[in-house]
Amino acid sequence: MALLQINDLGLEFVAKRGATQVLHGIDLSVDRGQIMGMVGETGAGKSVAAMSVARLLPSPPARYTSGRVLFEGRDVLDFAESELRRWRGVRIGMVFQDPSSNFNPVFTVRQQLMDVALHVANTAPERLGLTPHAGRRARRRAALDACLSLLDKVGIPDARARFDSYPHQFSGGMRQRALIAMALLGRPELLIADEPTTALDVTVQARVLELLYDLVEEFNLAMLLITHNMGVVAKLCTDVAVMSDGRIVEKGDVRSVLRDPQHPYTRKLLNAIPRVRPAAGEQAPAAQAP
Amino acid sequence: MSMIVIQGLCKQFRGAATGLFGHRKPIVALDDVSLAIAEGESYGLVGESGSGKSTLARCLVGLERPTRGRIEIDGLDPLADRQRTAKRLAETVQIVFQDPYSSLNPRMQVGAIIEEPMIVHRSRLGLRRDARRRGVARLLERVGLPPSCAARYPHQFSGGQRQRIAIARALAVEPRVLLLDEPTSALDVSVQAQILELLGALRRSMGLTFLFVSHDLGAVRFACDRVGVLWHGRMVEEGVTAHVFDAPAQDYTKNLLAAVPEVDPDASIAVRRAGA
Repeated sequence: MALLQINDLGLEFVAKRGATQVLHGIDLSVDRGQIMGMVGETGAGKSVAAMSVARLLPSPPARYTSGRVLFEGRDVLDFAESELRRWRGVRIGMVFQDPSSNFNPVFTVRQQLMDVALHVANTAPERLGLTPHAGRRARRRAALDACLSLLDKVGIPDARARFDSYPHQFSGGMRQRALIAMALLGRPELLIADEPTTALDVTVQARVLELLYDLVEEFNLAMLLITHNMGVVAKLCTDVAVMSDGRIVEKGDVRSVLRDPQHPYTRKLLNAIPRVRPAAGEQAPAAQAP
Repeated sequence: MSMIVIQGLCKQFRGAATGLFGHRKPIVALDDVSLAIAEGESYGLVGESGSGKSTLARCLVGLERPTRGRIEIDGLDPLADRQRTAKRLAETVQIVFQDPYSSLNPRMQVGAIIEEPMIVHRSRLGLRRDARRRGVARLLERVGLPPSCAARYPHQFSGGQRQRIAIARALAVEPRVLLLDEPTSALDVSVQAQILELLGALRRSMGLTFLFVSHDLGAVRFACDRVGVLWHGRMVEEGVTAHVFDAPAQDYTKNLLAAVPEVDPDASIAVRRAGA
């Protein structure tokens, strides 16, 4: 059984005037070493699907109408709040789009990373190589070591010196790297990245994608990558699920979906992309007006 | 005949002070940039954040005063006599901004939004009220929206439709140049494609000149005849779009183009690593 298995997941948002179904029976599985890209346009439901995996949607208004989200065989939708806290940020890590709004501007990078690292040390000490009886000082020490070694691993040069910087003193790419380090502090099995490179310049984006690829290999991660950019999918992902109107319309390994798309929506999406280096005979965004 | 001529444009901003008595090191946003855009041409300006492309665009329409250099748009010098040329400049150059969510006044009906520039410039256009109303309907039709949209508010439209409204507003004073500042960056790809098609059709039918500022190299390739690559305020490469993109001469341009993730499974990181 795969690490993450989503079966027939249905979700609606309840409002005064009635409910809106936003996910219609999603089926998806991601295993270690796999990078699953979820692509689709605005409102397709890709972020909502990822947020429901992490149980991040407030309920109400969110209401699960069907299905299960199995993480190592256990249904996340049944987790109690206390269990969720030990699970989020530890077993699953999350990276979101805008690196500048994901850090609190009034705290240093050290304070914010240490918050997470200490949370891991206290709720899951074994993840930082600690025994359950490790004292406060040992936990602090292990948390600090974890922060510095991860900052180093994500390619922040001279991590120890920059540790006490404020987020605004980092460039966009460095902030995103620090955010990725933060997401990995709990040694998660699953990494959810929601548009992790969308706010970055292309040359920076290329380097962050390389980093994500390396991290998946090194930590044997399962990764769920939400993006609207088919190029990012082609570059990084092993598998892809194309979403439209709350449904997965097509999924499969990246090569076959991009080479031989079966669903008309996938074809339309691929045809609409203006290419930088078009192949002979193709050069026209060709999306029909709705 | 050149519609836009820029010669030796420099712009420096005052930088942050270093230490208590440290002197302020100026930030060089534009460093001796020159370019010429012919009438009816579509010129793409590409570069990453901080490259100076927005500063150049802002200088062009008088929102920013360059430190040095010369600008000429349709024979007008926007730097010489601001008071006198401001209005004529606005009649010549109109802007379409990136974010159609913040560039349209949410309290105004779409018809009023498009009509407003015609009222401001009524002395030249000489349109009375009923003629303006007909103009609004014609403009809406031109950008692919039904005339009935005039009575609705911006929030009732999707992102792509709002960008069409912003384009209609820009065309209301019959400008000769459109300054397009990331016009498709906030839109979904299929909507992007529609807006790019629309802009191309409008340029051909109305003989417009485009300055297309974007970091989206794919969109620039599709929409622009020529392209200029900015890097740290300098023009590092310029030429016919297809030539520059297919055979870039400068290292920076090569890196920039190579960094764009293409929709090609053979260009994936995994394939490259396996081959290395």
